[in-house]
Amino acid sequence: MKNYFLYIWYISAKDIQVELKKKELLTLTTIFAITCVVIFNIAIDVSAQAYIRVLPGILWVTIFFTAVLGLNRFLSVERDSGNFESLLLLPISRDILFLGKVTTLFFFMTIVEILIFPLFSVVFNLNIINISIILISILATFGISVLGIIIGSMTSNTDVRETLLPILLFPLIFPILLAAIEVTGAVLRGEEWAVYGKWVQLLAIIDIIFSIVCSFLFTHVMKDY
Amino acid sequence: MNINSKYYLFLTGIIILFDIALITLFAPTEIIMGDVQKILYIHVPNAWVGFLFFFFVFIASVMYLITKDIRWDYFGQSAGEIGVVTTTIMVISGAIWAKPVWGVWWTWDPKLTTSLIMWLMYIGYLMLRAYSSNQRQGATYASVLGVISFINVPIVYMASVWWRTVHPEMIIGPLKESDAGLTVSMGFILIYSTFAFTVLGIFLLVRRFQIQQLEQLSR
Amino acid sequence: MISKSAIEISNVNKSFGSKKILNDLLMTIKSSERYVLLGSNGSGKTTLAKLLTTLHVPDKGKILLNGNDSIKDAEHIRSFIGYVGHNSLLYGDLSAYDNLRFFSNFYPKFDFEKQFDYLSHLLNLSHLINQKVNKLSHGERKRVSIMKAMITNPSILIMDEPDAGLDSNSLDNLRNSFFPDLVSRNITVFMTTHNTELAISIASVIGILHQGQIGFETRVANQFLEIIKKYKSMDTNQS
Repeated sequence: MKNYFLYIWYISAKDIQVELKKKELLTLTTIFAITCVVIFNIAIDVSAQAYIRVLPGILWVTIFFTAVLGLNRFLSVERDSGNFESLLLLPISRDILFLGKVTTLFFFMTIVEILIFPLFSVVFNLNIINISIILISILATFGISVLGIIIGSMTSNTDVRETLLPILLFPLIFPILLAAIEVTGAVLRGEEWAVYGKWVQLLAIIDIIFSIVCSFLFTHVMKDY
Repeated sequence: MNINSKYYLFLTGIIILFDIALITLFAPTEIIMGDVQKILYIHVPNAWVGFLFFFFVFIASVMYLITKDIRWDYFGQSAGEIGVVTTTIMVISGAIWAKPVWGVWWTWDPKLTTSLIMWLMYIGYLMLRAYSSNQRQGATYASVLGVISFINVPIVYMASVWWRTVHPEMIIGPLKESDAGLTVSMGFILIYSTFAFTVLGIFLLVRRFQIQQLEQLSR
Repeated sequence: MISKSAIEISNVNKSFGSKKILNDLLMTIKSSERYVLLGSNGSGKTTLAKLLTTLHVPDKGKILLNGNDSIKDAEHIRSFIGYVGHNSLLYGDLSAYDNLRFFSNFYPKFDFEKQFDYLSHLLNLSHLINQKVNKLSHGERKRVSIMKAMITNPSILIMDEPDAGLDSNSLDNLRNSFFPDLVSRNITVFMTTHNTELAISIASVIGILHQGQIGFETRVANQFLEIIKKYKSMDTNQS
């Protein structure tokens, strides 16, 4: 049991170590996120008073598309370099491998979020560095990572790879996005935990359900690698 | 029980024709909405069949992963294909009904939102299988997605309900599209229509399943 | 009943899409035997090797490694096998040392430094162990892969065409250094190759994979040349 989390950490730490050397994925996804912010700002032309209504949506849509980009790239590299295969040969169960990859993606996304949250605060002149928003971000990012890794592992093995991922992923993370947008909006409007707390609880439950189910299902995805 | 026998085709046909007759000839015209209310006799049964067949997709997915019997995959694919059509009919008929009654083609109320998300998940389920490199892998991948997608349905519904409770000003029209003012005869026709479409759906499901089996044998 | 066979394959079938690759295949490898499988390109050697590593799962039939079922006990099996495949299975941006250190974390404890030193000398890599793997030549990378497979003291070593694309230095090292060491260890070996000289130098059993089954097989050393002749004539017959 002690080894379970240790092994998850080893796998994730190795990915992080390799990435921190190259910094390719982090750079790409951060620049992409910044590009999204700019595009949305141009596309949604509202006055400063309306910022509070559009920021939550723009923030989380940006994070969603950044996640898709990062996921596609991450899984492509894993597959082409043979990393996945070498990890599949280890005497560990598939759910350890799954959660290791989920942790890696979670970590990468968190770094990107740490970089772009302040950017959002500055561009929209609204402070989103807030404990509740941070909490919902952690939960949402974890949920997106769980679903992203399992769906992405399947789509990266098909002919259409990158194109299919957002189509399959969006309906599944729809509740996660909704929760994140609602909480971000509620906090910005100054509402109380009593009002938006249930979204946080919903997200926590979603995370628990999907991490258990998907860990289980990952074994099937990895047959016949 | 040979589904190919004309008997079942005939029977299903009669059941549907009877339904059409009921809807067009016997259903009373609703006072407020007028004739357009009758679209609900198409919309509601298809909604029910859509959700039922999504449940079938879930069962097929679970059973395939457990037994690895490819026939469960045929079953899932057939249910998925019919379910997509059914859900599409439901969404379109809902829009046709909504425009004159609510003034808009679409609104994000929980049932519609959930249906749309379900429609997207259906499509994703079929696409993933289609784009997989071989049949076995397609079956495995689709089954995994089928399980995850079905678990997502109640979560989506709950989230949508909360979403709309928070922003009631966004809802145009009542939360329930089937009005409280259902007379006994309307209720009967609604139930019968649901039965009729379920029969049609199951008939098509079995036929589609058999065609798939034949397709595989011919390879 | 204690099974003396290290690998037992019974009635294994494997298809990819509509193509049937392995067809009711039967094969038994006893403990400490070194089985070399010959077979033309596309005959299914890699598929068979992958089935043994648990990366692939048979459609029908059973595979037992040291008595363990390849589906039910896959995790346990992976703790006592070593695999050398077509991919190097190494992190390119890390050194041989860092790579092996990482993978060893997941195995039962053993004396890593001692094993590492021994193997790097054996495979003539001592001067290269701290270089990034993607800076090594193909042959050097293959030897590091072999190190990775061997460092955890596997009881079964599975090698899929280890000689493919190797330069003469690496080939010599395999022939003169690594293989003799392998023979002295009493490890069970399963190897696929096209190189018939290499086959003879290490094999205690030679088999030919043909049309999804073990077409010919012999454990008798003085029949090896015969079976190789047979293989060569089959190979030239197939386009």
